[in-house]
Amino acid sequence: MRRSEAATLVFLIAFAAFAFIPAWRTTELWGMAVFGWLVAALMVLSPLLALATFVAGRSREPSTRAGSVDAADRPGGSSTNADSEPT
Amino acid sequence: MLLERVLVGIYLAACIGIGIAVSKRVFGSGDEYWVAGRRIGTVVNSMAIMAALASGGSIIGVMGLAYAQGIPATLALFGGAVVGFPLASILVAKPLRNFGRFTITDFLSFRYPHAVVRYLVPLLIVVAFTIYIVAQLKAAGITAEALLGIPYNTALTLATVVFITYVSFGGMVAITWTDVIQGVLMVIVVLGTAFVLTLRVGSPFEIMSQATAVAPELGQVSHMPVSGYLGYFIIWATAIPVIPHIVMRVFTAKDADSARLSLNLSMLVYSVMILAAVLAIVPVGRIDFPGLQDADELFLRVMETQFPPLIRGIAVAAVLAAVMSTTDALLLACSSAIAHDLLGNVLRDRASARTLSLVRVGSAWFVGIVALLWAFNPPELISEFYTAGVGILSASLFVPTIAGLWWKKANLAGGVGAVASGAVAYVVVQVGIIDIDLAPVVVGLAASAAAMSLGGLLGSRESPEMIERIASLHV
Repeated sequence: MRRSEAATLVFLIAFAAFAFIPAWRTTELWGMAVFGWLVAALMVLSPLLALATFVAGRSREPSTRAGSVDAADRPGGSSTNADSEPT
Repeated sequence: MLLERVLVGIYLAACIGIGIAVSKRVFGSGDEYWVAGRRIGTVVNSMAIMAALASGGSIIGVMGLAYAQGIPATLALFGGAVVGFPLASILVAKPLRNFGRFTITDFLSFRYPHAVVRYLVPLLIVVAFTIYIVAQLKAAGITAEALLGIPYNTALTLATVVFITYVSFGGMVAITWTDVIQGVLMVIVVLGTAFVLTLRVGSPFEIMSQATAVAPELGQVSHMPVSGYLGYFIIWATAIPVIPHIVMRVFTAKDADSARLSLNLSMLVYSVMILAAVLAIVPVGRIDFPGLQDADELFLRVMETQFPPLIRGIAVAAVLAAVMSTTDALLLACSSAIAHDLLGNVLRDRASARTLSLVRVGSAWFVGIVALLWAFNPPELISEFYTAGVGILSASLFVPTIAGLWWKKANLAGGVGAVASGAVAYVVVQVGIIDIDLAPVVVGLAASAAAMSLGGLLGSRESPEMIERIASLHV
């Protein structure tokens, strides 16, 4: 696992733990407990951070880029994988 | 209601048409049937993953739960799912895609080759996913009843026959195509509704302030013990990396990078959709409909009063799309648990390709009909109901999967113990045999981790070949 991926996971878990701090359950902002706003923020932050980590990781390793978004972007498109196993 | 019925009829006919159109191609090949030939591209897979996760629960259920138990509880549940995606993307997507089989059971029974794993895991999947399917069917039934005027049981039966037909004959290829259409439809409807309501009432902050002035409990953390909120969060955060219908999507990706990117993109769309539903539609609905008997009807009431028939017809199709896009993936996962995981080893060398195909179709019909019969008398609050079903999968599969991929000391004793103790501990606490002030999933995960640690530390070491094989999955 890359260091940036580990850092992303640690940050997200720490943020989630922070959101569950008891004080946020009773403090309110715009009528909702701060806990709720923090989890909402986590829901925005989590995908953006994960995407940024993935893109940054790929830009450092150009050899792993092979065909991510191309013509095979459809069921029935060209196969790039040979590990099929008929049952 | 004629216009709405015609729109829904066209939509259902299109789903069956796709299933029949691809059936010739997929019928004779397990690889095509279960994982669409492993050539689904990133964008298509992203939308299909989003649609598979965003169920009737994510439209009907998310709003019902927020209405009944408050927005913070709902965000805890769905926020857990969103955090689960990075876990899946970073911890399991690449090695599982490189493993290159069909199901999570394939991986676990390879990593921990024991009868307990080989038979208990698919049985847990069948039970949990049948519960999940029942919840989805209820969403379809109440939607059709409320907005189309079709009796609940009739709507239920019709929807079930349609999705069983296209799943059983079209397999993963049909599911992928229908999921993409269904995903686009539900994103447009939820975001469009939230946008229109925001224009009418004001920003989400204003909407929230107005709604909580009328109903303060909507924004409070007081509907259940804190362990309940934590349980909601942890169930979904740990379910996403191992839940079979998402894992099968990882296997359909054309390569490991594509699998990871698909998970990341789908999570982004899913987050936006859930937040729009909870922060815009629910508060408006709470103001307009203060005393709903069945909270799951909130979205339907909002659509009924705020929009003209054409939009309502599209909304019904979107809810059915949400239901069917998840139910079809669940049904395929259930079907694979029976036909591939349980019966596959027995039948593979003895049965013809045609017999195997018939077993696949038959298992899909069997699970679908059992769920249909159960859904005639459905439970209340569908999100809560299917989350309990998913909890048993989180408790029993998360630790052995992650440890099996990342911990060199993970071994047969630890893996078998982790699967069995996670499932048993979850059930014992969930059904109340032991009364403890902790969420069942927390107890289940702790028991599973303890068994894995004990097995790993005290049991015999794994063979160098196994360690080498697992290491190769990370390359």
